[in-house]
Amino acid sequence: MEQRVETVSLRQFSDRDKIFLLNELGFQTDGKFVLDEKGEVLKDKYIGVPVTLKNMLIFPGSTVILDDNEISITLYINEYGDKF
Amino acid sequence: MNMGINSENSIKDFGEGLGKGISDSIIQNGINGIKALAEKFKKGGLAFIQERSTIDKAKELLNSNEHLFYCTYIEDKEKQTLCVLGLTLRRLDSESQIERRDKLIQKIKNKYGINKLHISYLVQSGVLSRYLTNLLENIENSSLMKEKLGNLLNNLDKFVYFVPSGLGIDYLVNAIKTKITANSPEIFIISGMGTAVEAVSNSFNQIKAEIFTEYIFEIYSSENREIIILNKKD
Repeated sequence: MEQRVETVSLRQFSDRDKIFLLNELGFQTDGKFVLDEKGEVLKDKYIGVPVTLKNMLIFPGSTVILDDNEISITLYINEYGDKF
Repeated sequence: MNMGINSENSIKDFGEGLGKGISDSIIQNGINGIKALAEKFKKGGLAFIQERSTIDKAKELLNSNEHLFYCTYIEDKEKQTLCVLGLTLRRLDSESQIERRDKLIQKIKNKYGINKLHISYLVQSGVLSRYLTNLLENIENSSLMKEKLGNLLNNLDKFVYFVPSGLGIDYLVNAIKTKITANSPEIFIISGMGTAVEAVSNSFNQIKAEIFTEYIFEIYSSENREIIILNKKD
């Protein structure tokens, strides 16, 4: 049986909390977009759109940061299994 | 940019999905609380989301009977994904989440292209499930079913007409006539949703008289959709 993860909603986080969290996970932001370790805008691996601070999902699996949309969530579950 | 964190109550509530597994002391603990969450994430015990309902919806639809039914006859993974996205569009419609639905449509179109978006429309509108039911009644061989379904999904523009809203009856009838004359399909599907329902319904008798002497037709009607499936007579 797939080990379930707990979920935490970022809706309750202030921008400063989100920025701190990203830093703790090795990422940055320019205030709007999430940036990777090289400082480049991070793109959702499934649909290719830039991931924003406002709309990001952070999933386990060597830290998968995605845009909050049904395509990415569905494809994540297909690739990594239902962890939720 | 000032990235300093105000430790005074910068974290009020982690919201949905947070069970008692993460203690209240973490929630109250500002920067240390976030660090603790980050550590738990790194150990694989946590995910940071927006709305829990979006995750639950995706899971529910992936495990739905309708999706599992499609997966029986559709082996292509991308088409399976397009089917579940069609179910998602239908769910967003039923919940009147129009803005979210329209954003999803745009994302599907951007990622997969307009032709594959039509596969999701086929599911959203209920056409695919009715088409499969139609096939099940007429074909016993599973391989042949998969072949016919694959042919439909790879050639939607030849076999399906999604009626846009605001179309006049004469234009609609001519458009359908042109498609059927050009391809002489064994099966042809006309789908109208929302404001197009009335056009499909009102044009039916004219379509029947002018075009469908060669076809047997089945009609599926509900408040918000009208689907006509035509099967060529043997």
